[in-house]
Amino acid sequence: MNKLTFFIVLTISLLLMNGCASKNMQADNSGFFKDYEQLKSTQTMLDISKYTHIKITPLIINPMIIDSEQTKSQKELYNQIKTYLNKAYKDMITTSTKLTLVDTPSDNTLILESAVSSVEVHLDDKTWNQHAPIPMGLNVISFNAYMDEDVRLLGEMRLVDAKSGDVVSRMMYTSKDIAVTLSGDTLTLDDFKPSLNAWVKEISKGLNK
Amino acid sequence: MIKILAAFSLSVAFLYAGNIEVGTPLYKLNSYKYESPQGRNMRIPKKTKLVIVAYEKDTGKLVNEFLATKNKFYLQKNRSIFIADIHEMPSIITTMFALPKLQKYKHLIYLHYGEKFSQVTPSKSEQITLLHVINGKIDKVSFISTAKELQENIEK
Repeated sequence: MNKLTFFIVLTISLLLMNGCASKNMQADNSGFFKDYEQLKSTQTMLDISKYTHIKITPLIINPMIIDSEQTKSQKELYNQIKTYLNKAYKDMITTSTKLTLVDTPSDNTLILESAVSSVEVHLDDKTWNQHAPIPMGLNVISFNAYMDEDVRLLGEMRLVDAKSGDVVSRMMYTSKDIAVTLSGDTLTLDDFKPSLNAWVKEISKGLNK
Repeated sequence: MIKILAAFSLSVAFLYAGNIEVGTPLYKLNSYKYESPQGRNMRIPKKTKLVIVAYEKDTGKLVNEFLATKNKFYLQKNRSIFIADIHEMPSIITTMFALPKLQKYKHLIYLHYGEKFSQVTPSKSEQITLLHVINGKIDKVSFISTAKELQENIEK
């Protein structure tokens, strides 16, 4: 085989391989957890009764919009969500009778790490990935889903033993009944508040078991 | 002979039942798979009023070029969606040339890669199909071939 023939065969092979490659680039999840195989829906929290203290790390937002494409109002919204949820987490722990909030972890301390994102749900369609990520903001892909009330907040959380670094428990939650509803021309904190409150309530239930 | 006729009638009835036509609920369109040019699975929105379908390269180009002159949310704000049926395009051409071009458009395109969609939806050569939806059902089917007609129907 001379060089020209080899080059032509190689080019055609590469083109064919490219042509056969999957066109579906859709991510299956937010990427907060390393492994989603065992975590298809809300997971009951394990026994955390031996822990007496908890440290809350800043909330992570996975908006599914790259930083350079986020608008000023979207960045502002994410900051508002962070502030709102971090305060709600602290209020939740303050009222807890089992755990005390700390800034510096010691023995028997849990570290709460959490993230939120938006997912598009079609609960009547069993073939649809009910955790399909969707931008937390309006773009051409997400606009209709928000208008149709097909968007839910996805909350993800893990509790880590501060001393060993082991993950003690992890949880993923979407409220079926509470949609993120677009009330104006842009998404605002008020559109997310019912879902954020449901998420905090769900964590609280787990921590106070 | 009777058996053959019965089988033929049943086949016709089966095919007819699967057709997308006047009276068909909008959600039936979700029996077919759509992807954005970026590869995201897409569903037909529940509140859609107009479904624009192009089956050929030239009609698709006409729709895309018209939409490219509009605001990126033009379709959404007019409760319309655009389906480009590209099943006849060779896979290699789609991946190498068509998708990179389509990905540059700011408006949303529902790409359909399957064969059956074109068999069950109404179409005419060199024309764009419009499915007009009222109360979640297809109320009228029309065919257009100019950007002016497209704009009139979207903004109706």
